[in-house]
Amino acid sequence: MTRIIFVDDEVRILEGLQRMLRPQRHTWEMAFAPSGQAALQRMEATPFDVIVSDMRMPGMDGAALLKSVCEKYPSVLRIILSGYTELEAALNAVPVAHQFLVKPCDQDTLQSAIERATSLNSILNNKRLESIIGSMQQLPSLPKSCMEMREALADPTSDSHRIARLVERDPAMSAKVLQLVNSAFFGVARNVSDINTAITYLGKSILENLVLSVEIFRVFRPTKPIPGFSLEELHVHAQLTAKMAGHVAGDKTIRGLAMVAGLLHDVGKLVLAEATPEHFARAPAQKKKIARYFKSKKN
Amino acid sequence: MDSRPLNVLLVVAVAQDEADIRQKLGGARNALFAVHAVASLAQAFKLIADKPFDVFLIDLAVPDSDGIHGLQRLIAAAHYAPVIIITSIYDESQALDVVRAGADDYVVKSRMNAAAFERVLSYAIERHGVRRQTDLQLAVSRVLAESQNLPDACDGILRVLCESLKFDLREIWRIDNSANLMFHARSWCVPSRRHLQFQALSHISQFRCGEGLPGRVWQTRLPQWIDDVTECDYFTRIPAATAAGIRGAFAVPLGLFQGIFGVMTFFSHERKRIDEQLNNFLVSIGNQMGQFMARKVAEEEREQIGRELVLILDSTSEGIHGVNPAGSITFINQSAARTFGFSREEVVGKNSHALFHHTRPDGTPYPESECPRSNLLHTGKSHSTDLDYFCKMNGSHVAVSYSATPMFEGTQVSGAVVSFTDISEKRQMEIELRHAQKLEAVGGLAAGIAHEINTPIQFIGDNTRFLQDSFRDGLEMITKYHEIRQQVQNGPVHPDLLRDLDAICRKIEWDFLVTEIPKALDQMLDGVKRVATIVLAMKEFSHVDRSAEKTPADLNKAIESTLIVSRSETKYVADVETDLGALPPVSCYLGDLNQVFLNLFVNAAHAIGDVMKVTGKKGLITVKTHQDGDGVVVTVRDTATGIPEGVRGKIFEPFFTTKEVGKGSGQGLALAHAIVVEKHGGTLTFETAMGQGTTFCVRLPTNGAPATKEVVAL
Repeated sequence: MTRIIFVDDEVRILEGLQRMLRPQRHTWEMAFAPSGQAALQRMEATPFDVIVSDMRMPGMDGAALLKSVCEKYPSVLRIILSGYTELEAALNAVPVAHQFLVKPCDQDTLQSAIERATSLNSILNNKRLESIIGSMQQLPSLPKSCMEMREALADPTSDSHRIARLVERDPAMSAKVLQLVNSAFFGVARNVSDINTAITYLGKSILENLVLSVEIFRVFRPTKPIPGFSLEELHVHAQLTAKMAGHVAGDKTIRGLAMVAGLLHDVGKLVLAEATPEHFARAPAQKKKIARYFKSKKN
Repeated sequence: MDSRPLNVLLVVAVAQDEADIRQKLGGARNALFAVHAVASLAQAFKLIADKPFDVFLIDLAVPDSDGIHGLQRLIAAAHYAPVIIITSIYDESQALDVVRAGADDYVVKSRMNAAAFERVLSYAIERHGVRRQTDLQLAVSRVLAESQNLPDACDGILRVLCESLKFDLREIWRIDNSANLMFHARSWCVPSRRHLQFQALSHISQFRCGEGLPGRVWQTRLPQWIDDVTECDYFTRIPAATAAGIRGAFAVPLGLFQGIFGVMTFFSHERKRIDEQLNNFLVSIGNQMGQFMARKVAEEEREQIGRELVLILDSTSEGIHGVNPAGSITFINQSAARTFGFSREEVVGKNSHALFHHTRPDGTPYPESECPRSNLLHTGKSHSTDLDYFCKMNGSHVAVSYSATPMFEGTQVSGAVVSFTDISEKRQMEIELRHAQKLEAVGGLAAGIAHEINTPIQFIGDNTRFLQDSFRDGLEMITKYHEIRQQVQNGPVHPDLLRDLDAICRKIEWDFLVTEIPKALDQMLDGVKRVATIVLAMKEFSHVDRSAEKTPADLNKAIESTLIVSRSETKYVADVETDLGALPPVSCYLGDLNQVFLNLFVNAAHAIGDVMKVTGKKGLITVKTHQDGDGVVVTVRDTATGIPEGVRGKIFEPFFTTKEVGKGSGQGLALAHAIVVEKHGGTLTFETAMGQGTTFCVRLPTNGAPATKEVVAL
């Protein structure tokens, strides 16, 4: 059973959701809270897997609620469902929301969004990993990438192509940009899977806003060096893989997708290096041990 | 007087006459006369060219005289001395003719004895001297009257004096009070190489007060005579003067009692003794020149002030023109001329109303009798306006703000000054700004309104989906019922069927559906109503004032619509209470008033929102309306902190805002004020108490009082 809590200051919305999602009652356990405070109280009493919150509410608004949830219950998946279309307000929720949905939102969209989000946790099947991923607001980028990005944004002559090329080299940036552009706020009907299109949709000014005010791109600064891990190497590897994947894909329609897949395929390493460097440091030794084990089995 | 003998030139043809006259003149006291005699005019002219004479005695009977013409030629050649005609026979008409022609006297030889000759000649010389001084005085006066400036006057005076007085060199010295020094200004001399060195020295000389001849005159303010400069202890230019052959000198102050401007010096090759007459004469000329200088200095100052005034007027960006009591333009500055597209010459003297104010911007004529600017010439009351239109040369109009001020001479209006500013650019900016402000208000609402609409749409959709699912479930049950019904028609019902029906009922939770479906339908209908209300309110709020006239409107309805539209701004921070009394229709521009109400509501919400950030408590906005005499009153009260004393006077000023950057343009209340006061003839006031809140009060006349001022159309 997936446990989902819906938060909205409009009771009719909650009742409507309750009725609409009735067919899910055998797979979802649903709770409904009329305010942020009420939701936090419920979550204190019972654990939840997913929170779906309105953005604009009296008292604690959606962004504040999700931030609080992110800190207290990092493994809970956080979704914004808002009828308020003002972009600036939405930007506040960018670092803490996994998904953005816009009212009016039909059953299928809501259902698939929740299912897709929960499917990751069922794949991971590890509470620790779920927490690590859930609490991670931004993936880290290379200092050089961040600097170049700021420069490009500050330069009035730079165009979206120049920015796209910078994003393309950085898996963390690519991931964030794709997440944003595919969120409902930007109203892009189709799935966007190549960076160039994503940047064009977002526009330079929004990107600037995101970079400067909510700091969607963060510099990788480990407290001490992690043996066996280099972000530079990871970048080079990711870019190389992206190029090769694009080459292999050949067909234009899936070429972009393949390149993004290549770029992001090792993004898990980034998460682990950032969140649990001490575990990560042990990985190469483990890898050797496992290799030796398989070798001995073969023999 | 000089004691040297007076040189007499005697022109007589008959030797007997010559001897006779010589004898009589020789009998004068102290050998007064030195007589030179010639027998013809030709010989006389030769002598005149060589030396000066003090008096001429001529018998017009000399062969080359040709009667009166001879006299005229002689006077032309030696005007400096008197001419006396001697004749044998007295002829009354001839006597008159010669005196008219310039002769000083007319005497009959036979009647003259020695005493008579002495008297006639002496008197003639004296009379002539006086007349010459009078002539000189006249010439000097004419020079001074005709001179445009001081250098011209100095040149003219020196020329006149040099022609008349027997001095060889004259100089004018100018006092520079700031330097406390005296400098050479002008000089004239008898052309001669001898004078060059002295002149050159004078050019570069300067004297302190009391120093040298000019300095002594400056100090004493009295004329000075020097018999012989080479023997004078205070004369400073002795070597140069010696080289120039200068002996006698005379200097007079140029100026009056209040002060002297300069000194005029005269030099002569002869020793000069004090000549009382000449002294007095030159002193009087000095006074005259002093007067002239004083006048010229004053004139120059006046002209300078005038030039500066014109320069100031031309340098200002305001257009300025003056009119006389008849309304004709007397002056126009550069900026005004440029705005109108005329040259100054084209407009001066023309009627200003006929030139600049003849038609209104709509093309209808503007009679001068209706123009307050022209009328002030009669009323004497100044007039100013923030907006009027002046006509340009090319027929187009220019929006201006101007003030017209009458000028008075005593109690009479002597004209008016109109000073205006071209505000067309400013107005264009105002229009754009207000448009932007309106868009900003609407744009700020759009996101909120979207939220307000999306919310009911969301639950209508959710409930519809629920009904869809429920109907499918219900259909399953009804199908089972149909089956049972068919069986009932044919015989007993199989118990399994009833068990199935029960199972379906349980599965679909029919009891739940029975209670939920009516609720869902109610909520859907409510949602639809909510959307409809918002859409209608938006339509009413965005009312476009199509006609230029005010139209009657129900303000209560307008307030309700505006409250709905601004609900997304208010509902999170405050409850809204309304107490709307019965109102008569108000003649107004409803679209504009909606803006006013919106501004007041949103401002109240923002103010309370700031408080709520601190206290976390919702506030209250109270909107009340009531009729008050022939007007209506709308009050909007909030429970925020009130307006601090320091900013109370500024809140209706454009661009004044206390809100954080990006939240307000500072135009809202200024615009609201303009709409209420200027467009509707109402009032917009507020009462505020620190810590308790603010109440804004809009008072509007129901009859639609005329706008006090044209306001930029929205």
